[in-house]
Amino acid sequence: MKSEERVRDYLPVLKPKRNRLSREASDALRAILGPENMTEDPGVIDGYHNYTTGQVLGVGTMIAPPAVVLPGSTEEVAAIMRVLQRHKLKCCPITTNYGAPPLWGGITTKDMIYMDLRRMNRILTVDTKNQYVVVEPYVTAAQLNGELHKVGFTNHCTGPGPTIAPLATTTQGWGMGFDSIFMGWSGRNFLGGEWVSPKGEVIGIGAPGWFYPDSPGSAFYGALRGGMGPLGGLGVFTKCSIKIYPWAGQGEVKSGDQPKIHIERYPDHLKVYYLTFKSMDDMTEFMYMVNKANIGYGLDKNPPVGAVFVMTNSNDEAYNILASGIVDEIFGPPKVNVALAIGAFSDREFQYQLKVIEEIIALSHASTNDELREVYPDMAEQMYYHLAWNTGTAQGVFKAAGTFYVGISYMDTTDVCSDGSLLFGKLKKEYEDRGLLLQEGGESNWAAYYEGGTLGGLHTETIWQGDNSDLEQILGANDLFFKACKPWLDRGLTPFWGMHVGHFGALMGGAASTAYDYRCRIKKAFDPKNVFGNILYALPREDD
Amino acid sequence: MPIQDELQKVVGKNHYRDDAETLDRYARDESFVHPIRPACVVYPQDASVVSSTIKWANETKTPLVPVSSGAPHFRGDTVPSIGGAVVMDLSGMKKIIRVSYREQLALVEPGVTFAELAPELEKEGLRPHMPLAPRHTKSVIGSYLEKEPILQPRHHWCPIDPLLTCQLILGSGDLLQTGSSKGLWSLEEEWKQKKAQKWWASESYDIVKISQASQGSVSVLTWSAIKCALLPKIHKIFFVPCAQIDPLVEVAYTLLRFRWGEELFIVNNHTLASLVAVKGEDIATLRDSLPRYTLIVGVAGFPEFFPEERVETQTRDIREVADRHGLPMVSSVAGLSGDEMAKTLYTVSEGTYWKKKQKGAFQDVFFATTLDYASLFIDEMYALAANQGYPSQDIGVYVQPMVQGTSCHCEFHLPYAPENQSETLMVKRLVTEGARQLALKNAYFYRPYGAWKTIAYERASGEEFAALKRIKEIFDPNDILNPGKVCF
Amino acid sequence: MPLQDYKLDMMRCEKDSVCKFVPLMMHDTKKYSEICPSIVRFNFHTYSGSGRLFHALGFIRGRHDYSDEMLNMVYNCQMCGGCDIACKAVRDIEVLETLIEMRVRCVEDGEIPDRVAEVIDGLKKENNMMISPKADRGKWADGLKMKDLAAERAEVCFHAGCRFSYDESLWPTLRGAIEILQRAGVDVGVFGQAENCCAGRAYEMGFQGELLTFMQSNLDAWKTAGAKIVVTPCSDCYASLKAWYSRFGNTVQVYHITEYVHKLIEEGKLTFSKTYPLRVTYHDPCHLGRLSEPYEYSAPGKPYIMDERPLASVKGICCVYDEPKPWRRGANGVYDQPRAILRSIPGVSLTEMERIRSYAWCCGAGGGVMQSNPDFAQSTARLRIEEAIDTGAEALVTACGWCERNFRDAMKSGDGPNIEVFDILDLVLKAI
Repeated sequence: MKSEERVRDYLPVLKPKRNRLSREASDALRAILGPENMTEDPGVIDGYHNYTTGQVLGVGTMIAPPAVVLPGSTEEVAAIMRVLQRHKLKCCPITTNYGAPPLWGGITTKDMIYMDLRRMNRILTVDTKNQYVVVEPYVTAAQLNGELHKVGFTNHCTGPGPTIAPLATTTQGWGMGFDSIFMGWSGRNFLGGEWVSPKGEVIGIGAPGWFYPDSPGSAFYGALRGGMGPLGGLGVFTKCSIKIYPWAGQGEVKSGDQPKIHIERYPDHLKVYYLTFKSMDDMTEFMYMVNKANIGYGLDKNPPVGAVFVMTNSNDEAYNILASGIVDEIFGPPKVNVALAIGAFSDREFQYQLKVIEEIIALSHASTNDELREVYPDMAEQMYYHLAWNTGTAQGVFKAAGTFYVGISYMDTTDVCSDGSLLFGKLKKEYEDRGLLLQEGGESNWAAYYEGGTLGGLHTETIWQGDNSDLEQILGANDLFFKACKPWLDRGLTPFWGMHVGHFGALMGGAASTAYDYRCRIKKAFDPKNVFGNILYALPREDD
Repeated sequence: MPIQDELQKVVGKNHYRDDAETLDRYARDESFVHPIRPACVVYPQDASVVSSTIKWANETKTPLVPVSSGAPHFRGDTVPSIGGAVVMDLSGMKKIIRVSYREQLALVEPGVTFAELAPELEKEGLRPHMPLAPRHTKSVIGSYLEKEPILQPRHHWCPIDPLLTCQLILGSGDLLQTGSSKGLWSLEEEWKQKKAQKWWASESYDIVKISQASQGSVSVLTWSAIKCALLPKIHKIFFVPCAQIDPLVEVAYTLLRFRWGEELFIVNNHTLASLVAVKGEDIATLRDSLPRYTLIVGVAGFPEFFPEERVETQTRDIREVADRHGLPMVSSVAGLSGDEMAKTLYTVSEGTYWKKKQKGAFQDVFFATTLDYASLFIDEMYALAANQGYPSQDIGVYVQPMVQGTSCHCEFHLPYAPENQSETLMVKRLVTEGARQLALKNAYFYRPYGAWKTIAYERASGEEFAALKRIKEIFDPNDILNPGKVCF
Repeated sequence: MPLQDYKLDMMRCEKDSVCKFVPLMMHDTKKYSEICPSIVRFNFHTYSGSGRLFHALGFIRGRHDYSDEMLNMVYNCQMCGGCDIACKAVRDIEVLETLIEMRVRCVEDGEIPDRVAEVIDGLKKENNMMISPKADRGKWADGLKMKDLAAERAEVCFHAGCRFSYDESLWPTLRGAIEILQRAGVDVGVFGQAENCCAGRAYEMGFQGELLTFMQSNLDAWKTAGAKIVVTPCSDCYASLKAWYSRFGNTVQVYHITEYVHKLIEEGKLTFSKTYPLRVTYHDPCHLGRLSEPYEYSAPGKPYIMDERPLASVKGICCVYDEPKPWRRGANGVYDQPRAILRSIPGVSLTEMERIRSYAWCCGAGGGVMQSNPDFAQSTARLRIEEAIDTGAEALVTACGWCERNFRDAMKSGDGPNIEVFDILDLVLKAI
């Protein structure tokens, strides 16, 4: 398709369905919030609409919420819930990230308002002895890290990057991060919280004092999230206690101006490698060795094109490198690429880890790509910042053309995830060859370890970059996803998170539906009026 | 049809008992909970029988009390809280379904004990994550469901560790399998697919977390994948002794932060003596020769990747930490060597349970707190004991960091002679009223056995209480699983 | 370029909120981690760079129409470019240009807030942004002996700018600048009363027509006067001449006074004979820093601004231009020279704030906000003053008359944080 044909306004210019709040609802909300903290203006509301929804054809943008509210406290959130209950309205809580409906929250019905939690943005506690922080919803990972790095700590950052809100990823979402090998799975870093139910009840979760996440006996938190979070579909957390981790990046000295930050002095006990394996099998064995060696501070399998976008400072720069063919030559299939960081807390520990990792690299026949500094002079800096601040997703995934598509993400063993990567790579290549997707090279899956590789093997995400101005590409991406469902299932790959609505759910059938059934019952018990209307979480059952 | 006939149809004649001796045995345990006789005891041998039993219980509205460990029991959770209950003893489900070194896990049924599992894991280069010296009959799944803390806090990422994929039968009778596949395929099919049940929860709720510490009142696990530890090629246990606990807490904080060391916990002289003494009468003497408090830290080198260097590196790093606090790090204390300690920690003794050795019976008081409050609670407990006239030198202290050091399990073990009425009464008061006093100082009774149930839920908010009841109604709508326990 | 031509930029925002914060690698404390005064004050996502892109996209798609609240949102933004450079640290999206085009569109459609209209009326009638008589413009130079470029020729045109010309409290700085130039033997003249506004601020308020008109007038006037170089003490004017004029096809050899003074110091033509002990911190004016990068040209007189957006035709890898586009990411502003000057003044010690250089926090005055919403301008300034105080500095030094005025206005009430404020030239003058 010629370039000028791609640039089309594929979304029909429809006047969106706009609901208006009733006078009573509007007055009630304004009485709680004050006029400054609420808007019903269509223009201001439109500023909330995320258009990175190519995958689902921008469905959410066809609906416009009647209002946006900005609560400033737990009490205001609870009061808002009561108004919504009374006036049969719905709520979509949001913080810093995407909010693209319906995948990552976002508006899905016209009676749904945005609850923007921006005003609740305090770091309440930093307890370095007991290794936790207590934060409000709008604190970002970068802000938290800015404070924590100074005292020798850091916090886990998931894939979307350092502007994520740790409260949101811990209680509502999930995702792999470069640091997950050392800092675990977001939902499991939860140590306590304050939750406002859809009915406006304020419930403290876990021990008073924020150090233990479970209620006495049966853990109520278990109803609020599992591996998957409710994505804003079940109440609002207004405070959260999150585990923090020791920071191995101390001692760094940097200079320069963005985007060309130069590291004059690297941290003493942190080193990042970009490794290329000759095959998926070699990479798989490498992963198992890393697991058995009990080391690893950061780990991220990424497609070379993603790494190029991370390591360069503009699309033009990236394009020149990619179009030259050198990346294919050095990194192309069947090769597989992994960024790995080791981090230690003493000189001798660091020396030991260096010895171990170099042994593992040798045993897995990997290349450390040292010669690439001529091509990527900023390689180490960029990979380090990927670790320190996880700029990776914004740069590595969105930069190419503004959006990404995601297939299922699966988890069980490294073996099965590696097979899944190859399977998906083959399916995807067809679409690339037909010009329906951006060329990425390789099998283009991203993967990470959790908890040293002891939890779920290699989390693999089928993500690929996309251009959300190109209708053909959007359709191609959707087509690929649907076409891949059956081969995935045949290979035994299922989403590690419960995706039981829609196509995949239908394919999975009865075995999955019991679990979904109980999710709906939890929803019904706590949100019978479906105030939190995220359809990807659950709908109350009609027959209950 | 009488219950006997119905149930025998469900579980099989050989797996049903209602003789007086059996009923008496299950009517009580070694806690102070009020004994209540069950109607009968059944012994399912596989998940399908468990499922049928639970379905039957729903149809007949009969309470069920799941039990997975063998006797003796100590917490009151296996004693019915209501008459007419059926005890469902799963301790006969003893399959070790699979062990995988590559995936560092095992799949086990609820009746498998640490004593049975350890040698099987050892063959594959693994070992179980151990609580502190479990009794011989202790079920692995039972221990993890009860949230007994493991000795290696660096591997304790969240309270649900080391549980991974589980198969459960809910109180409603529905079967759920957690993990990524939700039971879409059989285990054998999954293994052929190279899967290993290694993911823990793929739903937006965590049924295992809801079931943990619920004393069997939400679901019954019929198998679980569990994380295992690597079997070290070199394993050394070190002792850091001190007359006070606070300096040891500081050392622990540093080790926890940097994840140095494998096993890591603090005990007082009484607990240490009780653990290692061969005979009860030796405990007092041994106790007097031991340091008041000891931090026990293990260092391991694994078969792959330079085990000697790993041990050397960590030993030196840890020793430096101890040095900074003016404390020695030694490989033996009062004649007790690190090797002997390691054996104690990893060999499950068939003899008398160590806590009973001294006086024949014991009670525990335990709760969660943070390490920096350990000494406050120790002082408080000693004061409470003094108030009751209980000999403070007999109090065992065990402080186990949990969840990578963000909290700790603080435990006081109180041996007593059951025939000594006054001592029994003292202990009873300490376990009930004493616990209440500790709760007022924010001791968090996260495993609310017996009298702690009231204490724990008094401190919880009304809304949380109500929310938990709603959870129970979802997963056990007929309230047949161990009713009356926890807050349900 | 018309607003709709930025559609792809609007669509390519994925709402990662990067635009609200200093560039990710430069985070230090939480307190000073934000870069967008607009969202800090108003909190709705729409007030951020991302929100404004989505709003603009909705607007061009006809999803909503003008309203008071919408205009309030559009005009309560200092156009400081913080969102632009924060986003461009990780993405290739034109944020600020889109924001300006939204205002241009508002003006084209006649949707102009009253306070803004008042200022622009003043510009049209009196050639300045200060709602003041044109006749008074040159008064600051009374008594100074220098060339009158309305009648004479000089190599260097000293362009005072509207703020300096009409704000009497700033005249010592202006007069001092002339003194410095003359001492260094520079052939300098001024237009005085005949000086025209650069119209940069007007452009940032959406008045592109006025920019083009005043730009042409200024170019003609400089040509007639034989001025090869324009030196200005006003950062707004500096950015206007360097960046906005280049955007519309004209390259002006312009120096900010700090660049020129630094040059003089380096050449030994300006030396310090006194010591002035003072602990200072330096505020980077947006218009001297990130906003001042000129547009590069693909051909003489042809600035390389967003034009066509072909996708890469090879391998369909990513969005690029046929010829690599030189992105303006803020790194090439004037940051080092003011600092070098401060470090060379005997007695002055410089401590940096957290948000500096291309990611400096805006003083609050820009984009017409000072005129249309002084409360917002001053609350923004107070946050900066607090940041300055937190460094332990005794004084806040800047290089822009608008910044200086706004800082002083923000402290007038005496209630909030307070610090001494200097223009950098003031310190130079104290030490020469």
